[in-house]
Amino acid sequence: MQNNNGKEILVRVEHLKKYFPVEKGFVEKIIARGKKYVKAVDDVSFEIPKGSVMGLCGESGCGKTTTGRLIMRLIDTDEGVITLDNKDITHIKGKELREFRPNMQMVFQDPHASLNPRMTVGRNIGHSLDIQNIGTRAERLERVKRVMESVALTPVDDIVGRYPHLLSGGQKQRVVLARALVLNPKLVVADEPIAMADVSVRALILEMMIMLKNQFDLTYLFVTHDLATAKYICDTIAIMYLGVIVEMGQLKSVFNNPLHPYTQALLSAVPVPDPRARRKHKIPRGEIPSAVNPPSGCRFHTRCPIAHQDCSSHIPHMEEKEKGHKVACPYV
Amino acid sequence: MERPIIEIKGLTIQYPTFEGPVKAVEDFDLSIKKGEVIGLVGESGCGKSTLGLAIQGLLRPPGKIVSGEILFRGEDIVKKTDNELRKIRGRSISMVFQDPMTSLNPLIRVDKHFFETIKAHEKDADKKKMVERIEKLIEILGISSTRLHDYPHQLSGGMRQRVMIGLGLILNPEVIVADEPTNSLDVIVEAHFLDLLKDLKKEYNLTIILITHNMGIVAELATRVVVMYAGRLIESGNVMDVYGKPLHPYTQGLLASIPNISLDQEKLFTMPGSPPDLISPPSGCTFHPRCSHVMKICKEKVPHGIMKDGRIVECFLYAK
Amino acid sequence: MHKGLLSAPVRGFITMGKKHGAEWYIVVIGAVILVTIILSSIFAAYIAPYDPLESVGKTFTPPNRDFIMGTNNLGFDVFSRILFGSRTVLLISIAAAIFSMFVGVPLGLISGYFAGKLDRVLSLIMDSIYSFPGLILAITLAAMLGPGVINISIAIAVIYIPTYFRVVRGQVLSNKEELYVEAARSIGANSTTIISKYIFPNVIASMVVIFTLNVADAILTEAGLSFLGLGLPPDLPDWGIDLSKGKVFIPKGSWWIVTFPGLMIALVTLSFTMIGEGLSEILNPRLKEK
Repeated sequence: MQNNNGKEILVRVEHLKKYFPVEKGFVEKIIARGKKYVKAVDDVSFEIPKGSVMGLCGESGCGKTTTGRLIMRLIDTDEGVITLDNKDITHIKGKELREFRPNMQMVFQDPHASLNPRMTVGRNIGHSLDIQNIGTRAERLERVKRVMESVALTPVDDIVGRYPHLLSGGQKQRVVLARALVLNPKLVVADEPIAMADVSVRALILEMMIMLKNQFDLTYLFVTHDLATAKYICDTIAIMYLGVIVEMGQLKSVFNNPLHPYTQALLSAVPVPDPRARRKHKIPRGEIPSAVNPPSGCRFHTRCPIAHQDCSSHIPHMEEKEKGHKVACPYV
Repeated sequence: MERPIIEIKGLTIQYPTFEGPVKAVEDFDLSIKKGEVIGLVGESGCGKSTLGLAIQGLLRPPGKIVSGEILFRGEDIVKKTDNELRKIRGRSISMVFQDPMTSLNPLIRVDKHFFETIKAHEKDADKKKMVERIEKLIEILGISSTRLHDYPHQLSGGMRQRVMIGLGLILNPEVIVADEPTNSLDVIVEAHFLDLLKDLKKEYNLTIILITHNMGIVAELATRVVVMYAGRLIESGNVMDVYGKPLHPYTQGLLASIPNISLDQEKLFTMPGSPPDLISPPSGCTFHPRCSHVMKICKEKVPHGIMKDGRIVECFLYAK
Repeated sequence: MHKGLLSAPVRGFITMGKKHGAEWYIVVIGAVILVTIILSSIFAAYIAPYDPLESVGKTFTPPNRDFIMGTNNLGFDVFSRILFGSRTVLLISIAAAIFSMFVGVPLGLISGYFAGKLDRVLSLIMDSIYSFPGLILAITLAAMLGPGVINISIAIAVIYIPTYFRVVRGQVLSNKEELYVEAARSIGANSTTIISKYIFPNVIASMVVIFTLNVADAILTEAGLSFLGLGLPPDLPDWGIDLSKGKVFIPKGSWWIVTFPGLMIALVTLSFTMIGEGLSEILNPRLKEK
C-alpha cells in the first residue's frame, strides 16, 4: 500500500468513529429522550508508514487509547475503515480475526495487571504460539527463549519458569514486550508503555523498543500523554483533543512549529527538567470539557485564544499547511 | 542567622516485616529555611513518601521512627502525642495528597469540607467569618464560589486538586507537604497548578516540600533539590547547581535518562541494575552495584557528610 | 539424615505459623480433627468394638468400661454407631458438595463470561433457589425424590448450587475486565481458552474455601433431614437418625444417646469450618492483591 509520497504505508485509518453509549439514570431514562454518547473517537484519519514510529498524543479523554484499541480490533468501530498491510480489517471477526492477530500486537500500560499471575513467564510469553498453533512444543520454547534474550530477560533458563509476582517492574514490562514480539507482528501498538515504570527503568525500555524496532523491522503506534517521550522516540505525531486530531505531521515540523493553539498550549505546558527553562508565560485557562457534550463546531473553541465567530458552528477540516504537516484550524 | 523552620537530624524509619525490617529512611539530615521550596526527589521506594508522612506526624504502624529528631520550629515532633500533633497538622504543616478523588469525602459538599477543617482546629469559629475566609482563598485558587455547594464528584480533576490545596491552606499553615500532587493531572492542568503554587508561595511566603519523581516539576518550582536513594540523602543543593552540574553519579544518571522536550536528544542514558532491596541493602554506599565509578571504599563504608561546591554529595569521589 | 528429612516439613510448618499466625493454626487443628474422623470412619470396621446393627448389651446402659458411649434403646453400642455413622454423614455431605460444585461452578463461569440473556435467566433461577430457606427446600426435594443415599445427596446439593454460582460469577465478572484477559484476546485466544486458562485459575482459591464451608453446612442439613426421618433407610447408622430416635429418651435421663451424635455433628462441622475460614484468611491477601 502506498501513499501519494510513494512511501510504503502499513496502517491506514479513515474517518474512524466510536461512540460509547452512556448509562442514563433511572429518572433521566423516563424524562429525557434519545441516547447519550461519549464521542470517544470522532472522525479520525491517519496513515502510519512502514517502519516508522507514530505518536498518538493528548490528554486524558482525548480518544488516543480508544483509537489504539480500535486498530487492535479489541473493540468494534462504529464507522470508518481500518486497513493493515492492504487488508481491510474493520469488520473481520471470529476465527478470521483470531488468525489475523499475529500481525498486530499490543504492549499494555500496566505490566502488573497485563500478565496472567497464574502462568509462568515462559507461558505468558509463549501462550500466543500455543493458541496460534505455531510449530512444535520444542520450537515454541526455543522461540520464547530467543525473544527473551532480545529483551535481556536473562538468565533465560532462570526466569522462564518464574511467576510474574517475583519479577521487578522493569522485568515485567520486558515480559510484556517479549509477549508482543514473539508472534513477529508487523504493527505494535504501545499504550503508555513506560508510564508505570520507575524513572531509571524508562530509558532502558525506550532504548530497547528502538533497538527491537530496527532488529525486527517493526512499525509502532506509540500512544502517550508524555510529549517529551514522544519527541524522543516518534517519527510522526498526531495530537488529539476530545476525539479529534487537531494537528499532525512530521515530528520536527510539529514540535518546532506548532500551529494549532492547543498544540502550542500543550507544548509550552510540558515541564522541562531544567530550571533555566522555566515557563515565563501563563497557559490559557480552562479545562477539558465533557466528552458527552463536547463543544459544537471546533471542540477547542471554548478555550481558544484566537477563537473566531464561526468556530462554534463550523467543524474545521485538516489542511496541509506545510509539507507533511496538517492542522485542523482555518486561522493559523 | 534565621533558625530553620524544619530540622531533621539522624532520622531512621523502618517497617518491620516477616523477612526483616525494611529500612525506608536511613540516617537522614535536612535543614529547611522558611520560604524554601524543597524538591524531594527519588524513585519509588527511595523513602521520600515515608519521610513526608513522618514530617507530618502521619507515620502509622507498622512504620516506626527508630531514631532521630524532626524539629518543627525547634520542637521535636517525633516525641509528640497524637493530640499535640493534630494541633500542628493543618495549622502549621499541611499535606496535599496525590489523588484528590480518594482524599475528599464524596458524601460531603465542598464548603462543608472547609468548615470541618476549620472547626477541627478553631472550635468557636464564626460561620460568617469562615465563609469570608473561604471565599477569599478560593478566589486566589481560581475556584468560582458557586462550586462551594457541589460534591467532589461534580468537579473536574483539576478543580478537586485546587480544593485540596485550599483545604491545606485554609488554616494558614507555614509549611505545605505535597506528595506527587500532579500525578493524576493532565499536562495543562498540571501547569496551572504549578503556576498556582508559585503565586501562593509569593502571596503567603510558604515553605513547600514537594515530593515527587517528576524532575520536570521540580525544575519548574523548587529552590533546592534533595535527592534520595534507598532511604538516604545522596545529594542536596541549589536547584540551578544540581541540575546544571549534578555531582552524584545517581543524579547524573537520572537527569541523563529523562526525555527533555526542549532538547534534541540522541540517546538516553540507561542506568544499569535496579533499585536495591531495602531489607538487605548493599554494603557501604547503597548505589555502588550500579555505579560506573565504583571504588573499593564504596563497598565498605557509607559516605556521610561529604560536601563539594557548597552542597552535600554523599559520594567518595568527592571525599578529600 | 533422619533429622534432615523431618526438619524441612517441620520448618515449613513453623514458617507458615509465623507468617499467618492464628489462621494457620486454626486450619491445622481443623485438619487434624477432620483427618482423625475420616480415618476412623474408613477403619470403622477395625476400630468399632461391636456391630452397630446388633443388640450387644442391655438397653439404656450409661457409658462404662464395656460401652464407652453407652447403649441405646435397642441395646446397640452408641460408639460403634458413631463410627459407622460418620461414614454415612461424610459420604453424603461430601458427595453433595462435589455435585453442587460441578454444577454451580461451570454455570457461574459461563453466565459471568457471556452475560446477556443467558446470564439474566440463570441468575434469576439461582437467586430464586438461593432465597428459599435451605432446609425447607431440601425437605421438599427429599420428599419428592424419595428415600436413598443418592437422592438425599442430590436434594442437599441443589441448595448449594446457587452459592457456587454466585461467587464464581462475581469473580468472573471482575476478572473479565482485567488487563491480562484483554491481552489474551489480543493474542487470539478464544472464549474457551480465556475461561479455562485465564479466568478459572483465579477462581479456584475461593472455590476451595466455599467447598469446605459447604460441606460443613451440608452435614447440618443432612442431620436435619435424617432427624426428620427423610431420605435414609432407618437401619443405616447415621447421627441424625440417632438424634431423632434418641430424643424421646432424654427425659428418662439417657442423655448419652443423643449427646454423642450431637457432639460429633458439631465437631465435624466445626473442623470443616475451621479449615474453610482459616484458608479464607490465608488466601485472602493474595486474592486481594490481585
